[in-house]
Formats: sequence, C-alpha cells, structure tokens
Amino acid sequence: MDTSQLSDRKDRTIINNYMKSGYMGLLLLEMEGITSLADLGGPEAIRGFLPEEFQDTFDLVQLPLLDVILKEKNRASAKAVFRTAMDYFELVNRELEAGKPHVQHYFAIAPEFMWAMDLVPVAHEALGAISSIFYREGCEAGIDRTLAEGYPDHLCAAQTGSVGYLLDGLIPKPDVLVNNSAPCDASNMMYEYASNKFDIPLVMIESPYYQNERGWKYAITEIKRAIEELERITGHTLDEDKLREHVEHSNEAISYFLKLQELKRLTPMPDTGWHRPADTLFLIQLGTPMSAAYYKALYEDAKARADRQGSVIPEGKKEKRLAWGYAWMAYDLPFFDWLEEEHGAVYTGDVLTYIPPHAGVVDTTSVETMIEGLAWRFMQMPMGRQTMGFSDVWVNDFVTIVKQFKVDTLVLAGHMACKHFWALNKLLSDKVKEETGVPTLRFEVDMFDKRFTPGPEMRRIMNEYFASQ
Amino acid sequence: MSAFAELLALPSRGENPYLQEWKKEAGRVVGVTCTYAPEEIIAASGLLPYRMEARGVTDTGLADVYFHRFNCTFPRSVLQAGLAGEYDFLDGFCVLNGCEQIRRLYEVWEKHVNTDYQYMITIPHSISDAGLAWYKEEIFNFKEDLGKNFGIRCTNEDLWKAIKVYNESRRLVQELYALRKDDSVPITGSDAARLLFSAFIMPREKYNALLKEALEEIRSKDGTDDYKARILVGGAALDDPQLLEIIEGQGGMVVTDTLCFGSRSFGSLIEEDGDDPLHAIAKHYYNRNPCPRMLGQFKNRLGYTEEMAQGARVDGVILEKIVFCDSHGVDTTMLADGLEEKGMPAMVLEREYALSDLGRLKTRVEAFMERIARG
Repeated sequence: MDTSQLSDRKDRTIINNYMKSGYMGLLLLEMEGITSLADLGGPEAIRGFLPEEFQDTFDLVQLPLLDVILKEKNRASAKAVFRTAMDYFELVNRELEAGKPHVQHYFAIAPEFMWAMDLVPVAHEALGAISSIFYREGCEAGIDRTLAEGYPDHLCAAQTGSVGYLLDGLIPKPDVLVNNSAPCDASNMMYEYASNKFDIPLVMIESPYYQNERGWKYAITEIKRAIEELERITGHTLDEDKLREHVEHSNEAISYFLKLQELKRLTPMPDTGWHRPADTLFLIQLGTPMSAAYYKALYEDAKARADRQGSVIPEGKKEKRLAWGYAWMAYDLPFFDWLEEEHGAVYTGDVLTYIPPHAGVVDTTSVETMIEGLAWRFMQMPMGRQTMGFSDVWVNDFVTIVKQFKVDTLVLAGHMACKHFWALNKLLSDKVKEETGVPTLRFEVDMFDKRFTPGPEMRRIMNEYFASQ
Repeated sequence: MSAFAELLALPSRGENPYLQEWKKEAGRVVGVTCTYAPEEIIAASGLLPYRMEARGVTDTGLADVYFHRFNCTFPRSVLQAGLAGEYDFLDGFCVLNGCEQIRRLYEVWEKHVNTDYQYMITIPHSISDAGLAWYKEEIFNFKEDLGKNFGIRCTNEDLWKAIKVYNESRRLVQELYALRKDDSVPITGSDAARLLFSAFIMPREKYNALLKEALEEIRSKDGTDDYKARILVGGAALDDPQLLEIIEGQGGMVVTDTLCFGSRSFGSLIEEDGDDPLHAIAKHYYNRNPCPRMLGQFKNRLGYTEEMAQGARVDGVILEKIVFCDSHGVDTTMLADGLEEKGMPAMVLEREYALSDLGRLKTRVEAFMERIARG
C-alpha cells in the first residue's frame, strides 16, 4: 500500500482506517502457514511486527474476525474483502484529492452514471457500516452521536452511524446527496436531515412501486432527472464512453455475482458464510474495476470448492441450510463461521445478497440503452427491489430462495429499525411454511449495533434452536 | 341536539348514525388511510370516503400477531379494529404509500381482513413534474378501477360537484380557524379538533350543513382568554382530542395546528376554474403543505409551521410523534430545532396512538407551559 496516500485530514479518518485495515488484513493473509492469531504469537506479538502506521488500526479491529479470516477455508474470500477495502478506498481517496465533486448516495443506487460524470460516488451507509464489520467498537460512536442530537433510537444504524461520522467531521462532507425513496422513511429522513443540517443539495430518485413496464419507464425518467440535477449542481456532464466503461465493469461484477448465487444452490454449500455482509456492502463498488475483481474472486473460490465437492463445514457434520429472511449482522461476521463449525449450518441467501437472475446485463450500445438497463437494475438491487412495492416481492423471493437453495430453516433475525420487515414478517413466514413446509426462527437484532443483541446472545439462540430440532 | 353538540359527540365506526343511515340506504363505503387520498374521487363516484381511525382501541392483541412491537401503534390499531370486525361496514379500502407501516397494512389487511375491494394509490416522495404526472395517472387509474368494481360512472361533472362540496368544507373550516386568532377564543382546540374529525367520517354535504350551523353557535359564544399560552400542535396523525385536552388541561389553548387531520386537509382549496377536474385534484393533493414523507420539503414545512404560528399568534409549538414513527420521529426534532433557532419555543412529545402514561405527558406539558406562559 502506498502510505503516502494516507491523508492528515480529519475528514479522511474513516477512509484512512478502511484503507489501512485492508492493507493490514492482506499483510496477515500473505503469511504462509498461519491459521490463527495464536500461530503468530497472539495479538501483542502481531501488533509489534506491524509497521507503526498500522498499529492503531490493529487496535481497532475485531480480533475474532482476524482469526476467522486466517482459516484456510476463508482465506480466498478474506483476501477479496481486504483487497477491496484497500483498493476501493484508495481510489475514492485519490479522486477526492483530485478535487472532484463528492456524492454520497444510498447504497442500492447503481452508481455507474455518477462515475461517468466524473464525480466521486460513495455509498453513505458504507462509510458507517464497514466500521461495524471491522471494528471492536463498530460504528457505535457514530450512532450515539446522531442520537445525541435528539433523534430516535428506532432509526436505522445504516444511516445514523454515517451521519454521526459526518457530525464529527470524520468523513468528507459530500457536495451532493443522492437518495432513492425505497427502502424506507428512516433512511429518507436521515438524508433529509443531513441535507438540511449541512446545507447539501439532495437529489431524490423515486423508486417505482410496480415491478412492470410502467414502473421501469418511470425509473428511467427518474434516473435521467437525477443526471440533469447532478449536472446542474456540479457542472459535470455525463460522458458516454465513461458510462460504457463503468457499466462494463458492473456488468462483469453482476454476472459473477449471479454465477456465485447459482453455486449457492449446491449441496454441499461451496461458499463460506462469513463474508456475506461484505457481499452486500461491496455492491457499492459497482462501476469500478474492484467490483468485478471482488465477485470474481468469491466465485472462483466457491467454484473450486464445488468442483472438488468440498464443504465449508467440518467433516462428519450434517449440513443444515439456513436462509436469512432479513439479512446478516455486520458486527459479528465470525458468527456465521461459528454456525458452520459448531452446527454445520451454512448460509444460503438473504434479502441483501439476492439479485434475481433477470437483473441481467446492461446493453452498452448507447447512453439510452445503458440508462434503460441501469434503471431496470436499480429496480432489482437488494433491498430496493423488495421494499419499493408490494410485500409479495419480498415474500415470493424467499419462497424462491427456500426452494432453489434447498433451505431447511428460515431465520428471521429482523433488524429492529426495519418497520417494513416487521409488518410483513408473519406474511413471510406463513407463506414459506405453506409453500415449502420450512419452519421459521425469529429474533430481533440491530444489524450494525452489537449492543442490541450481542454475539453471545445470538449463539445462545441458535444453540437452543438446534438443540430443539 | 344542536349541530355543534352533534359534531362534537359524533361516534366513529359502527356507532356512527350517519354511517348506519348510509349503509341502510345501500350506500357503499371506502376507507382511506391518508390525506393524500383524493376523497373527491370517491365521493364523486357515489361512495362514502371514511378516514380510517381506531379511536377507542386500546388492546391490539389480534394485530400484534402481524405487526411487531417495533411497528407504530396507528396502523396496528387500525388493523386490530379490522380484525375485530369493526370495519365490516367497509365495501372498499384505499391505501396509500404514506409511510412504510401504513402501506404494509395493505397486504396484511388483504389476507386477514379481506374487505371486498382494495386498492393502492402510490404517490412519489418528492415534488417534480414527473411525480405529478405519476400521481395523476395513479388517481385516474383509481377512478377507473372504482368504476369497474362498483359498476358506477364518475364523470367530470361529478368530480366538479364533489370538488365544490369539499372546497366548501375547507372554507368553513378556515372560518373556524379564523375565529381562534383573537385573544378571546370561543372554542377550545380539543373541541375544534372534534369538529374536524367528524368531517372525515360522514357524508360531506351533511357535514357542511352542520358545520355552518355550528359556526354560528360558536360565534355567539363568549370567548375565553383564561389560558397560559397559545399553542400550535403539529406532528403525526392525531385523530383523538385526548392529547389536546391534556395540553389544555395544563393551561394551554390550542389555537392552530399543522396536522393532517387539521389545517393540512383544509388549508387550501382545489382550483375550480380549470378544464380538467382530475388535474385540479392531483395538483392540489400533490403540491399542498407537505407531510414529512415528501422529501426535500423541510424548509417549506418549517416555513408553513412558522406562518401558522405567527398567524395565530402562538406562544409555543408542541410537536407530537407516535413511537416508532420514523418520519415524524425525525421531522419533529428538526422542526423543533428550526423553530427554537428562530426564537419560537418548541417541544417534542412522544406518545402511543392510544394515549397511555398520561402522567408523563401532563408533566412535560406542564413544564413547557411554565416556560412559555404569558404574563
């Protein structure tokens, strides 16, 4: 890593941390014959041999996560995760240093058209949520900072974490915010708040209610309108060649994503579960070369395992196939590795890592075909797709997942802030039971804040559940 | 019973005599969940629009199966009423995507309450020409679907007639608000709210006739200036006067509001001088003083609140929100901060849909009154 890229600016603190975390993870992963922190002499010893500029980052990182990534079965995917964290944020940092206008956007918006306008788009949520993945303290300082302004604790930490970082000046203040109306009021209101608090223009893209041609045509209109507004605000215009280049990157990424998704149907499951939060969050890279590299690495790892009929669970254990009818918990990636090791329970799908096969490839013939294709893809992005319209979409997607991925338990670890989900959760579990006979385990979490349902409590819940089966 | 007394005491749902009469005469009723629902279209189609409410529902045991503890108690209570059979009088149910929790009511209701006819109207979350075109198409489709389902025709002439009737309500209500602008106030805020709630649960022509009479009665009353502070109430859907009674019990006089059951529904008229009544309806509902679910409109909402507060010469603003409401949960704090910055005292009050922990509410309001009391 080129450490000269690390900035002294306070508002690059979080970005610097992510770059350094990526580099540090890669350093550890490149050590041959090491499968745990103990092999290296334990945390203090590791801290000692890390370059000085990375020692403070090591102090931030969750140690159980490092133990998980050093396991042989997780190394390939771990390298992809940490490589992405480093490369992507280096790119972002470079572009910001070059003085290009900075856009923070909702994560489920395809950012290709923003890259093609020579802007620097970063998913606002990722700036907070990645802290939840890597760090012992997660993004809790950000969350608490936002709540200290008087905002309710039932808002989503996907935004309160990043907004808190913005309030403390730890992430760059964007020149523009771009939000889409799905998934929810909580995210919308935090964008409204940030826009007014920091006097940042807010560009809204309406998520159409209907998954049909009328909805699609409306999405096309909305993306075009967003482009016009961005042009007006930033003075930057859409470049066709650049758009093509970025769409080609995301086409490649999505095609690997879908191929990986297909592999998850196999028994034994060839894809490890620990990295699923990253699989969602790194959709933010769509349009960059890193995105294809990330999903390609995951696909190749899973494919190699599938080709040799390999498994992600210990030999002798019976595979239990779980679908997460909400999603993952960012703050405890080792939890999913623990499920594999302890219970033979593998991770098939969830609402944030499911893209329907017809999300497809965007036709790059012209600006018009690309915007049409991006609009369609925007309607299929995880979370946006399931929340922009009727709940049938979410429910039916899970009937599909349960059937196609041969799931034997639907786990609804529902995010406490997601009012949508909690109002449809019974419809979901009832329909899955009716159509497939598969039972549901239901409990509450906060996806990004470990204080709500800490890791030991989640393990207790799963232990009890499996003991009862 | 005088018109005023009748409107004050009008019961809801099954006990409502106007609803009973309407049903007895084979009239059909369509429930609506939100003030973005174009009631004129329903009325013009010969149907009675009924703004869904759950006054008196305190136990939500049936609804809790479907709506979790993190869900707002407003749609949960409405669902409870539906599951308990209290909405069996509905022939149709029109839901809007006003908020996440209300719109999820659609599918749960469809599966488990099963009103004969259900429809979803969607409205975009920001103001634009494309958004207006979308909303207009949505309400056109709704009109056509109503016609198909109920076997009725709704002509432009029917729509203009309905617009006139609803505009008449708006004018009359504006007169009611005007009566509360002086120091001597002839009607409490809680009574004024009762008068407004009645508009949404009875035939509008009959309401207008009663309100006209009631206004005469109110004008003839001696007003009172025996209160500590003039209050504007804003925030979440408030269809029960109990909270206003608490405020007024602590010495406040609620003289205006920015509520969807209040000034937002009655504050502006639909234009009657155009060619296209559907366009006039769409423009009115889409563009009027916005709910926080309309994004990019905070400054307008703050401006509207200030305007209403200044017009009614209020001493303080109380912004109420229902627990687990994300939109008002954020908006009330933003508004309160914005108002305080401009020198207008404001407080945020959190509640459940069916009021509980009344002691806490009284204490908080009492403390606010001590801060802003006149003289």
